[in-house]
Order: sequence, then structure tokens, then C-alpha cells
Amino acid sequence: MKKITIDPITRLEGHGKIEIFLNDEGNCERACLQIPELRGFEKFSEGRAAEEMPRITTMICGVCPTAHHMAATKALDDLFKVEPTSAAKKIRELMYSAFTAEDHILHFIFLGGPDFVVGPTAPVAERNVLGVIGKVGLEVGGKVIEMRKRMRNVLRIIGGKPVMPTAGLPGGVSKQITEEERKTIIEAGEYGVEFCQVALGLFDDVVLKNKDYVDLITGDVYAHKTYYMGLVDDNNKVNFYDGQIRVVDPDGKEYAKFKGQDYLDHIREHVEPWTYVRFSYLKNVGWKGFVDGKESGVFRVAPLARLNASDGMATPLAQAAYEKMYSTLGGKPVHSTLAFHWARLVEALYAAERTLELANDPEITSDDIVNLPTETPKEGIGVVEAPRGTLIHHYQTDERGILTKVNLIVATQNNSAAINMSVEKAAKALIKNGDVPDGILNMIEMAFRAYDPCHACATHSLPGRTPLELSVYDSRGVLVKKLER
Amino acid sequence: MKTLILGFGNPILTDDAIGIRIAEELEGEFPDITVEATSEAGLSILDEVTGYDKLVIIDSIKTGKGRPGELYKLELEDLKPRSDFSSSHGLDIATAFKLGEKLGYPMPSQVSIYAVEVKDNTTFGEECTPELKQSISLIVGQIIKEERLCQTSSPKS
Repeated sequence: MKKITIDPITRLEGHGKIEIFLNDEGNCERACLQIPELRGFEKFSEGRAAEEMPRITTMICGVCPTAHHMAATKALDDLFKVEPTSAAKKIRELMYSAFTAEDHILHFIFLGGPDFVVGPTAPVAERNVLGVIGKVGLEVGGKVIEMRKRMRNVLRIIGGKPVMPTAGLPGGVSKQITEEERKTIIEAGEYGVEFCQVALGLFDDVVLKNKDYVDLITGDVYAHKTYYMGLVDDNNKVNFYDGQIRVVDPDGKEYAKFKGQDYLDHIREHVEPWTYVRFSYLKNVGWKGFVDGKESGVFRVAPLARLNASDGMATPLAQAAYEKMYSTLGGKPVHSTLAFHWARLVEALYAAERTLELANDPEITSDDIVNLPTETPKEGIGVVEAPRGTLIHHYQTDERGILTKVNLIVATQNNSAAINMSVEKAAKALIKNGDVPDGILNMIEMAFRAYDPCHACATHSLPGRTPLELSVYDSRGVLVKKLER
Repeated sequence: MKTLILGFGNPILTDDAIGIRIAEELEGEFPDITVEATSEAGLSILDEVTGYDKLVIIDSIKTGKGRPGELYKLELEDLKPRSDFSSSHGLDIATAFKLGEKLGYPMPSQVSIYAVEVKDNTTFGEECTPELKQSISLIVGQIIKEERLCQTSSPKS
């Protein structure tokens, strides 16, 4: 048996690649990000019973199982033409809120935190989760873990298990919440609301009081004037679980508002020869390339996009945090990619408040949890806001409910054009006259880490992260620099 | 010694499931050893492994150089992140371990990590490739021998 070490020399397959092409002057002409692609999910699904989808799709993504579960469940409601009971909708939204609160907090503290809490220019050895803990203290670190534990317990109570839940049925949910369980969920919600405020306070202290960080957020290197998309409720407030899809233009004006079922009238996918990833764009504006502005159909999804596309948050503390964010950053819409981190915290607070609100709802322990489907299935579409953006599941079946066609538009795909633009813009700003600074990989990674993209995250292979390689080519196509992590 | 064998993988991503398949083979073989399979990664390892003295991890790897089904043994230190950042989503096992230690969790003092070279971990499918399927019993035997599992426990008849 071989003993091996994974070090920078060990080339692992399935790595992400950033390719930068320089012009004659040695400045960045074009840059693109290529990521490993998982194949064959549609084929894998076809021929199966549609009811299997809420369980199967949880395995597509290692970090968004609950989002896929919920989009699939809603697609089944639509497929079987059955409206869930009022209590079932609330139970689903409760589970979904707990999931979003946990996911967002975890991302900010542990995964986005190294950029801000520790700082982009901090020594390499400290720019990781352990560095974050070193900076914020063990107590805060412990609280993150505790919040995660409690929110996952909510998922366990409702969904049967914290990952790969089994709660969703067409027309409802599989299990009622007991009074005893409600108490536990209320405690989790209270803990979440408190900790999300601590996290926002931390952002205040560490980021907003540091001029360099604020300059970085508000500067042009990481900004794009794009369209923004997100689900909103009847009052145009952010909603993760249900509502209509609203799109605002780069000036913040409502451009479109439509039901998830009409997504094909608004969203199209562009294909490029150099990658398997499809790039979503607004059909009625059109694909004009990897450019921003009102004439380009490129749009963005995920926390900042949702806030830009809404008129506010439906809970009081989150609304106050939302107002503070926009007043600090000069009003709506905010185009800075790095502000996704701040918006993520505002949303985490909303999700925690909503968890608590729903747990206190008298109907949440109702036993009226499912309406049985009676219609013949044909086609169903379900849309939710995954933590990483708008997620669409679209199924077609025969009259027995056996899948004949499956189309998923995942959040990262909706952001993929913008992610490439962010990589290119950062490369253009950082590379001058052939000088490629060593810190460039991190600065470019910061551009796309803010989106929290899903890159083949269903794979679990060691070392548990997607290796990334950056190659710079001169105007003759000769490789002049290679960096990797 | 309280021992946990933990198989990692995605059950619907062809060879990515190998850790789970091997865990399934080992489950119930040794009455004193807990065997679990998980599709989670990163921080969730803390939920699984705390409170055990010894941990045996079985996962997949794709170096592209080995023969599919070839078994490697790694140390926790071998999984250190290359530089400053782990992936944007998950913590790698080594970092999760350090975090657990820092937070004062009872982490296992002995850790063995096995990685199986895989052929295809990017196509959705419930079965491993034939090369890996054929290797499973051999790999199970290698791990039992290397970890001297027969000597510490009585195998199920």
C-alpha cells in the first residue's frame, strides 16, 4: 500500500482553472474560470418516479441539500396540481429558514471570514478558519458551532435528519411538530436571532471600522452594474421559500416580476465552447457577452441580488440591518460584489427571526399537514431561493408520474456569467504591464468567493476541497506564470 | 479503545461512493467497532467523530496516476491545505480536526486515513465502475490487515 502526501506537487484531477490571457502590453485581455462539471443527472433521474426527487436531489449538492429538497417538493406540488395545507407551508418554511440561517452564518464566519475578519493581506498561515477563531475569540467560534447544532436539530425534528431530509411530500409534509418539539425550535430561533446580531456587530467592528476594507467593498475592482433577481412576497419583501421572481435593472427599477412557472419566458442559457457550465441570462434583454450594464442580459442572484431585487425584509431586526447596509453603501442598488457578505448577514438575521416567528405560530403544531394529490401528473416547476441564489427544478412525467424530462437551473449557474466577469475584472485591475503579483490568486478568489459558488460540491473525494490553478498566458499564447493552491 | 470507521462518499456519484460501499462491507463485522457512512464533509465530521479514541476514515481520491481500486494510506498532516484557503464551501478534514481540538472537543487521538483511487467521480450513477467493484473485497481485506482489526475484536461469524 502506498503512503502518499498531498502537497502542491501532487496533481489531483477535477481542479478548477483560471486562465488569464495578456495582450501585447502585458495587461489582461481576457480571463475565464473553468470548473469541474458533474454529468448525467438528467439521465440518472429519467425513468424514476417523480416522488423520489425530493430525496435524490439532496445528494446533488453537499451544501444545499435542503434547498434541492424544497425546490423538488414544490415542483411535485405543481406536478400533481395539489396545494399544500396552510400548516404544511409554514412547517416547510420553518425548516427552510433554519437551514438558511445556519448556512449563511457558517459561510460568513468560517468561509468568507478569512477575507474580512482576518483580512486579505494577513499572513497566509492565518487566513483560514483557525485565523478567524484567533481573531474573534474561542467564545464566538463556539457560538457558531452551537447555532449550527441547534438549527440542524430543527432540520432533524422536521426533516428526519439534518441533511438529506425526507419531510417534503406533494401537498404537504410527512410529519407534524409536537408541542415539545416546538419549544426546542423556539429556543433555537432565539439563539439564532441573538447570534446573528452578534455577527452583524462583529462585521461592524472588524469591517466597517476599517477604512481599507470599506474602500475594498465600495471600490470599483469588485463592482458590476447588472440586473438582480430574487423571490419576493406580496409586499416585495425577500422570501426564501415562496413568492414571485422579481428582477430589477442596474438602476434598481423593477424590470420583470413573474411566477416560477414562467421562467422559460424570462431566463435563457448561453453556452460557450470552453466550458460545460451554462450561463443564464435574461431572454428579453439578450446575451451580449460577459459585460454588465442595462443592455446586457447578465443578472445576478444570491444575498445581495435578493436585497437589491426586493423592497426590504419582512422582519423588524433584519429590516433595520437592511436599511443600515444601504445607507452606509450609498443607497440601492449596491453593485459591489463584496457586499454579498454583508447582505448574507442581513439575510441570516431574517432567517433566524422568521424561524422564531413561525415556531411561535399557533398553526405550526397543526395535524392538518398534507392534502392528498388526485390529479394526473404532467409537468411541474418549483422555485426556491437557495442560500446561493434562485434555484429552479422543472420536471415532466408520463401519466404515471415517471420522469421523462428533468431540467435544473442551479443558483451558481445563474451567477456564472457574473462570476467570470468578476474574475476578469479583478485580473484586469491587478495585472499591469506583465507584472503578475503572487497575491493575485487570493484577490481573484475573493471576487468569486463572495458568490459562494457551488463547484462540483457533490463530490467528497479527498482532500475535501477543489484545487485551483491559475495560468497566465502572454499575447503569443506562451504560459508565463502558474499559481496553484 | 472506542473505535469508529467512517466511510465518506456520495452514493449517487459512481465511484465517489466507494467509502460508503466499503463501510457497508465492514458494518457489523466487528462488534466492538462502530461503522458509519456519511455523505457530509467538513465541519460535520465533528458531529461524527467526537468521543472516539480511534478513527479510521475511508474516502476516495483521484490522483489520475494510480490504478482504480489502488489503496493509499495517508496521515492527517498530509491533508493540510496547500496554502491559505480551503474550498469556498467546506472545511477539509485536517482543518476541521484542528478546529475541534481548538474548541476543546474530545477528538480521537489515533487517526488513519485510507483513500481509494477512483476512475469516475463526476458522473451520476448508483454503482461504482467495474474496476472498483471488483476491488472492494481486496480493499476491505487490506484495511482489516493494516488496522489489525481481527486482533482487537472478534469478527462476526
